[in-house]
Amino acid sequence: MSDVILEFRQVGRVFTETAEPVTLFQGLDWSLNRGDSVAIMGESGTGKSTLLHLAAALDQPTSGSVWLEGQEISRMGEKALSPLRTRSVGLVFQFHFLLKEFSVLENVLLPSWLAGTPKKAATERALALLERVGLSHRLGHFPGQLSGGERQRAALARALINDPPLLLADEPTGNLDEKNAELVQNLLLELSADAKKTLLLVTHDRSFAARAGYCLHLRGGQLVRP
Amino acid sequence: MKGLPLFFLAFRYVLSRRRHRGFGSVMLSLLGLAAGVLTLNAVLSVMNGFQMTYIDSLVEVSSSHLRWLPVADEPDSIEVSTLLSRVPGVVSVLEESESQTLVQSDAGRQRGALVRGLPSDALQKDPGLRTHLKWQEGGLPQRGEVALGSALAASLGAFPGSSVKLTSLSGPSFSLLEPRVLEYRVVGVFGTGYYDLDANWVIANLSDAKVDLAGATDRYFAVKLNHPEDASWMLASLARASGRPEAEFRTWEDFNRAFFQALRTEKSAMMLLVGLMFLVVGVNIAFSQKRAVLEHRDDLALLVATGTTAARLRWVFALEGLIVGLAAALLGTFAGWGVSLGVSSLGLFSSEAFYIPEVPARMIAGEVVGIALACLASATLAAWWASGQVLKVQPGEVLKNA
Repeated sequence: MSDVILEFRQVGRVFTETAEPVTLFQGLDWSLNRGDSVAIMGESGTGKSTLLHLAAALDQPTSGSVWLEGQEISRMGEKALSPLRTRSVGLVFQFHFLLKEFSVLENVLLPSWLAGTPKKAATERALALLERVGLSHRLGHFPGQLSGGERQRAALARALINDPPLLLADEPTGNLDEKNAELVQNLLLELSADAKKTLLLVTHDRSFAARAGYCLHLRGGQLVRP
Repeated sequence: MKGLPLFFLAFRYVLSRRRHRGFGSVMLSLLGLAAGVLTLNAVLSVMNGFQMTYIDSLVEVSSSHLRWLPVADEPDSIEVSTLLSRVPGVVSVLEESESQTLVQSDAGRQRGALVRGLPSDALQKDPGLRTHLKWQEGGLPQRGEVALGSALAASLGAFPGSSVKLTSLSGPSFSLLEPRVLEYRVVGVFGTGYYDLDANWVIANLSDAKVDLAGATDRYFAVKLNHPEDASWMLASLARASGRPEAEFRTWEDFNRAFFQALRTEKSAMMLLVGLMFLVVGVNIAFSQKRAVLEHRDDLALLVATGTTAARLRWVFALEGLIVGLAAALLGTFAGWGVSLGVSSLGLFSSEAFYIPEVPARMIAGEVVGIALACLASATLAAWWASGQVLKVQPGEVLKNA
């Protein structure tokens, strides 16, 4: 198995929907090794979230290619991407994106249903994760009945339910108060380290970024060491 | 397993919308469709009841199932009727006659009437006639006697034991017609359940009718079948059995063609008009689902990011339509069934307007299934069309800008 889990080859991304085309990346070459934990920092509008979306194939590069676990995801169709996303990527966003019609347990289980994981195994894993993030007493509650920190912890458990090798987190503590932010940061870093996940984290928080394995700055469409 | 969460999600969305908005668009759609199904089932069942009662009852006493019209000088018609009665499916063959007359009672009242000549053993041979011809007084007339329809007897002031005069016209040509007035004793009063018949019918003994009241062309042979609906396709076998391929037969549908065509047209128009309700509700569902897609953009984006495709998610919203359509079809069918059962007892339709004692409702399985399928199709197709919006959701954009 290759050490590289994620690779950007000569990636370019230009947004042409605006009056003036906006170029975020041009010829970006970058790779992320399996098990690494990296924080991406940068000013607003430099393309941090777009980078993450390219890594999850939620966005397509205008040039170059993106490779995930040895497969070129930037040219894949939706049908082929769908199982890859289920199996290989866990996503945590600034907003929790929990489905309000589903309970906490069901929200966490959702990706496992889509992956076709046997019910018993999926439920056992979901319960263990919810225990780990401190939500075992909230299993039957709906997102509307949770605090902001609890919602984000549930979202973290959901991202890990299918045991993906790559965890992508886009400002996961951006909407939280200091106490809850710290709790979520601790959980995210501990869980990814314990399970030997590769973590690609986008944040504005310097102290949070400093806790990752290493930190990169996105400047002028290139990832550079600070 | 993979299809299950989508159905689960669709079901949850329906429940959630009901919970959050009370009688919102989903409930309105459901109730609108159910009302359409109920109305169609109730209206069609009454129409069917009316039509089938007519077939079951009126045809038994009035036109019979088939009539063979022998040519005027047919020498061996009785022999032919014996041959016809041996055809499988034939219950009875009776020689009868029908002619117009003027009736005058002892009280001096006069009415136009139709004299129907029946043989003395008609009730023994024809069980349908025996069942549906209700004798209020007396029974079938012998020679020199007549029976009157109940409404005719009342309007003439005639009663069993009184006498009536019947006027018949006879002569070699129209210009030489001469009236003959014949007196008969009233021996019976009958009811058919149909006002028109009860107000216009006189039953005479066939022997009298043939000699004094009916012309040669007024005779016919009334054929009753086990299954009246088979009348049309039995024509050929009857003609073959009679040994006269050119024999002229008429079915009960021929005699009542205008009536049945009117019923059919009315039924089609009613289906079309009430069916428009499905169209209106379908449009409501379509716009409601389009709004639902927009409301769930975040969920859709998340689900795509988590590992399903927009094309599969489209089914969530189509399934919502299917769930609404299914619930409405079941609700409407059961409610329609209940209304149909209670139509007579609730007195929703006046029996006087239909000239029959009561208006029974009959649901036909094929029609019930057809209506339920139309309801399902309306909701599902509308939802499927609206769910095309799912394909326009850009997960990356939604997740970035939430």
